[in-house]
Amino acid sequence: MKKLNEFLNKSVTRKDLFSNYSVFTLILLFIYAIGFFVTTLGPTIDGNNLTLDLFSLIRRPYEQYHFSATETELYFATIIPFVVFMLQFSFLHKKSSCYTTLSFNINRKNLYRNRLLFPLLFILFVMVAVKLYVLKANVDVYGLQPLLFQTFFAHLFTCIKIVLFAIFCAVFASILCGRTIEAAAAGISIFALPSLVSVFISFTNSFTLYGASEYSETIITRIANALNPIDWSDGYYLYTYYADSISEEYSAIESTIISLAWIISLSVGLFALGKYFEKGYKPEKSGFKGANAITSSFVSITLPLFVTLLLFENIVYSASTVVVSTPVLLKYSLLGILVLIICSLTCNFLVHFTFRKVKFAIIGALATVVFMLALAGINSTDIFNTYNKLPDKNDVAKIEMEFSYDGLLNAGEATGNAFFGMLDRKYDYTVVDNEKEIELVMDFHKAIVDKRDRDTTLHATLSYTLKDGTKKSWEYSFLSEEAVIEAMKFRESEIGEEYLRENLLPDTIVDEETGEAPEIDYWNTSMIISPIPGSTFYPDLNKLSTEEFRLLRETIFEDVMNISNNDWYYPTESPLAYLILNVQIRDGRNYHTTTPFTTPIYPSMKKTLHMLEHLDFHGDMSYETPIEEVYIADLDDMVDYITDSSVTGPIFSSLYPVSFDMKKAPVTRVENEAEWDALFQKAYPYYYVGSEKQGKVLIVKFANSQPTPMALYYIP
Amino acid sequence: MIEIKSVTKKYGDFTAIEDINLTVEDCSVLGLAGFNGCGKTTLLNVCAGIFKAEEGAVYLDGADVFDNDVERQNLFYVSDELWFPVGATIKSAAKYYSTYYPQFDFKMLESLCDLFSLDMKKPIRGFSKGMTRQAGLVIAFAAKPKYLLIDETFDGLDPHKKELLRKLILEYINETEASVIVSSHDLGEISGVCDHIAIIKGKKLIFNSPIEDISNTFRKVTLTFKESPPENLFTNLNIKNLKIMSKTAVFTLHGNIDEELEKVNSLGAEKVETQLLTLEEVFSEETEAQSDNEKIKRIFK
Repeated sequence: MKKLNEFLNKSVTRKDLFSNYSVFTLILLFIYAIGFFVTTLGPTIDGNNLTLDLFSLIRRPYEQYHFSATETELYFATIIPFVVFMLQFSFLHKKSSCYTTLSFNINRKNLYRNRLLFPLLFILFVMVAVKLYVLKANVDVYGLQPLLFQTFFAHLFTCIKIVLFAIFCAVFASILCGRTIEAAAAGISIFALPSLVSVFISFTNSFTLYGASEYSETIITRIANALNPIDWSDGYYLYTYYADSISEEYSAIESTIISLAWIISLSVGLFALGKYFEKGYKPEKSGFKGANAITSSFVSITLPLFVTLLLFENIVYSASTVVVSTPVLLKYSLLGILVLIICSLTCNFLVHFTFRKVKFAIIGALATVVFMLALAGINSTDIFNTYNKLPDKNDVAKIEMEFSYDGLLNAGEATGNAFFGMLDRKYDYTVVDNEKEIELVMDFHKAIVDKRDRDTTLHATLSYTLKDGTKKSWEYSFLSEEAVIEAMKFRESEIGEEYLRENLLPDTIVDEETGEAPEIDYWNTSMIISPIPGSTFYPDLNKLSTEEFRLLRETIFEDVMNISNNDWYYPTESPLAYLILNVQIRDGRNYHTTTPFTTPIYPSMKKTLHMLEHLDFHGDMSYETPIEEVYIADLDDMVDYITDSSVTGPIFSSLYPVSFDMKKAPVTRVENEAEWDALFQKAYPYYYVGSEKQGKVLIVKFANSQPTPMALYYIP
Repeated sequence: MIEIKSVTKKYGDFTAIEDINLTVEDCSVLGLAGFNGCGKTTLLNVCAGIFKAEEGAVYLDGADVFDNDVERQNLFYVSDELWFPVGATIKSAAKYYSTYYPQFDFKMLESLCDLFSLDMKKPIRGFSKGMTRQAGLVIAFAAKPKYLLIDETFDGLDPHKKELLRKLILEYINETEASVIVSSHDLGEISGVCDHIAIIKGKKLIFNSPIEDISNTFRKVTLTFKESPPENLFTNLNIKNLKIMSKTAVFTLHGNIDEELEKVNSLGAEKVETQLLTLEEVFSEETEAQSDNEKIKRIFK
């Protein structure tokens, strides 16, 4: 068995300790050891007792979950080893120091080991010590839980993996590159590369593009993460899970195995680098003259990837769009090439003071772009048929459908507010489990799959449960016309009708946490009577009892079912108004209001209009507000006098609220108040003009100026 | 003893030195001369075990020097571009070096610094080029190596320090029986210190001789005839740089001088004058530097 002193030259190690370590030893000690002090000040789970803001950055890893694999620590776990090992191998960054060092009485094998092992052992020692301390702190709080130890090992090995990769990058760059600046640039490039490739894979896979099988997406994400040596998401999520619940099931073992695989691979890589240094390293290539193509290549690879991904994330995804088409990918790839050329020229000039090495950069960049395009092409065209392949209908036990917002069934819209998260929107969810319905849904699904046009907006999830228990789900954001045709068939079916009945307006609210339906104080309904974009004018606020609300809901459903399929999906008339529903729930002394749910009211929905009148929507608006004056005018004559900024054209699609110059407008005052009632009987309670040019306009001026001075009505 | 056996070193496709064979005995100084870029530094880098020769090897007392930590404990290489740790003084640099050289003698270092008037506590980065060179040299001697390699030995030193260094090298080998290689492009500078001269030209060793043999190897000859001699008169002689000016012929004789002089005497010249060559003249002869004079003349004509 080999003795330690065969690996570590005592005198050289001593020299390293005293000459190279003054700076980074202090840094390491500060970063890790400060955690001990701060943690002992207030070792709480949530860290509320800790108030030393000065150390917040350092303290953060220790205070929240006790284990410390947060991003902050991992930044340190990557940057510090990288810097330390760049220093350790800095003798290769300058020809004179390289020659001097290599002329000393230490052979290359021992020199490599010495430079590598001592700081590595040092870092590992500190890291393990901190993790053990944190483990103890957790055991004190939670007791001896098996998950605690699983998590401990998962985190420890994740950190070691990252540290080893940082070391590998530094050593790799130092041995294969010349000057410090080149070595650093190359090292950082290698460092960034796997992460970027991993993100690129995730972003461009067909699931992200067109909807995903939940299971497959998870697998892809996991593979991408597993392939990324500096991925810390496993560690991060572990803490999140751990923080949420100690009993949360999570595969810490999986994370440990992946990290161990990386640790072994990187150790082999470092060993191979050592062998190369021992046998094949040419010191004459160190320093300026030894500058080779590697930096340029790595910079070239990284830059276009980085820029492309940055654009993906910031432009494409910030628009809440999850579909990235092949042309978009091509566009960004081309942009990447452009950025690459500019950046490579600049980098090469800065590094070499010459453009001689640009050709290497361009070769590297072209290789990258080809790789990116191939990847994007494979993913976006779904070469492996992972996206198109739907389950066999005979294997399907049930399909759960969820349509959000104003998508497939045009049933309404829910917009978020602060209380949205509290309650589960079970009203946009349905399950089919008989053969006929499954076939119907699958035809619809197949229509979505067959053509990926973005004709209409949709946010739909179709989750399959197969007879063998396997679950797969697809998520969509857009729908083609062909899919809409299939959706029409679906609407005509019993299950479609049932879906509409349940989802048009919710008549129950389920608490997300408890799964129970809370007691509803009242159903709060209001109207936006004007389809003016952005208008939030509420003419009324009706507190309906549950019974009244259900009656209204039933009436709306009857009207909706009388609207033809074609009118439903491609309405020729605009809504008169939108009925807004939210629910007041009393929780002790507090009231919560649910997310508003909005459904359109079309002119053809006569029963609904009468029901609304019956529920005093019309009455409240017309009569409860004292009317001061009423004017009448020909619609055609009035068009040019409407000055409301919301009305954009001569044919106003909406007349409320408005203002116009009463003196100039061709209006006639209705002096006789007794005639007002007769006129209101003929008028639409919610005024709508559309493209009509015939008819009369009724102008009502209210006594009080708030909330609105005037309202318009339409008499056909 | 340092043995350089059939060493060939290439940089990619470029051959820097080819088939070099040299031996430096114990208690001996080899002067390595040659023009700039002829391969002196490359050879020293191979000797120091920094470069691995493509062919051949360098042996220190029979052991291959490349990657040999045991033998290199006795080897110190003062390279052309000296390197010291960042912010080092002579004292701290000596501490750094002493970790690699267990026999390092700090007392000797103090004496040497005193000899060269160097402040041990001042940062080396503030030193002049010559002083930096001296700092490297005093550390090298204090490390007490058995094999000392000094590249561009007198580069940057003033005449006084050059002389001091010559004496120091001679004294050092007398005391320690070390094997020393000193290199320079200026043969005159190393002539006073070495007992053996090697000249590299065009990647090959073209001259390798003990210094005392040089007088027996080269001789400048001036012959005076009654009439202008024909050129073919000298074809049987081992000569270089023949110049015939009217009745006088001047050339450099080399090889077996005694035999060649007998041939010269049989040529029937009225007057035969022979003259020993200095090292510089030998260098000039061997590197054909004299032909440069004619080239220069042609440029300005």
